[in-house]
Amino acid sequence: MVLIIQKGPILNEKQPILQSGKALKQPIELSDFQLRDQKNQLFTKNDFKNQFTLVFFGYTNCPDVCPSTIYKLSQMKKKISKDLPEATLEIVFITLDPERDTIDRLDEYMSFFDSKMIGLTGEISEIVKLSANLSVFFQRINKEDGYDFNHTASIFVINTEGQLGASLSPISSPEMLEEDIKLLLTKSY
Amino acid sequence: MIRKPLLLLGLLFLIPHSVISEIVVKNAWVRAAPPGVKTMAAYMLIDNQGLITMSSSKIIANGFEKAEVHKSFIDNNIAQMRKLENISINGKESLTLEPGGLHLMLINPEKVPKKNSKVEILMFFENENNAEVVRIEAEVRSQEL
Repeated sequence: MVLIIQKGPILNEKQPILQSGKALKQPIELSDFQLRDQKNQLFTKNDFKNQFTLVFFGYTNCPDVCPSTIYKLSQMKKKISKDLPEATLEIVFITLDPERDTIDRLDEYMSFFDSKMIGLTGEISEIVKLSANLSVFFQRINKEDGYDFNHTASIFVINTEGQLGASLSPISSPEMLEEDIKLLLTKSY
Repeated sequence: MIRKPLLLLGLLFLIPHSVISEIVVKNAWVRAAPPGVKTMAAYMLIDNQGLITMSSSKIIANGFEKAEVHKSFIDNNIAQMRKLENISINGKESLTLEPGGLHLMLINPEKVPKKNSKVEILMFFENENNAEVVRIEAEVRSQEL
């Protein structure tokens, strides 16, 4: 006889069950980091506090997946803000390509898609502090006329305490993502 | 007596273009992008109305240094992109180029085209029996969910 023991997450009452990803049993504290937003304002882990934040990583020369995610999140935020007007939800895009994504470049890029969205850039060592904290993988792929990145495309949910509360799959439908984000917001998880 | 090849040639001129064209492209669009971008993506539905597979390895986009076929995919939450040598569509089948999947990568624009303008794209399709140049006018617009 073979006994199969399925190892799964231990759920507690507070941990919401998501369709598009996973809420952590115990939210994770973020390490210190210092980045700059598109208006050249300093952005640290304290700036994540007192609001819900959706974070994703990418680069502005990414022609397909990154703008699709930006667009999806921007549209979703508009819907959620309408349905839950009291909720404070921010979207933060963090570049993995600070060499090309300067503050000016990010300013141009963010204002094109959604001027309320925050874009962050800075020293690669500072970006790595945060990306490593969130287990984000990225790899530069050199081409004959430039370079691209393979990178984690997950959407990270940072709670009002500035902790990582959940990660969502980027291939989930906008409807599933919206439902999950609303669930996290209403449970203040 | 009119020789058969000449007769066929004559008939070709009488047949409307849409009847002899095996490749039909619909809903072509280019994702609007901010000034300064080096790459843009074009999407469309390509319908091969012929019986035999048609392939395209040569693509020209007016106003861009070059155009290539690329495929984005997300595997285990990692976003990746690969350049493909050509785009191939089986006879009587269609292929959709869409965000997050197959797309034409338009590289190094002379000037980033503005929203609501059009980008002219020429795709050269061929198989062992036929060759066809398809001219596409792709509208520059935002993505729709």
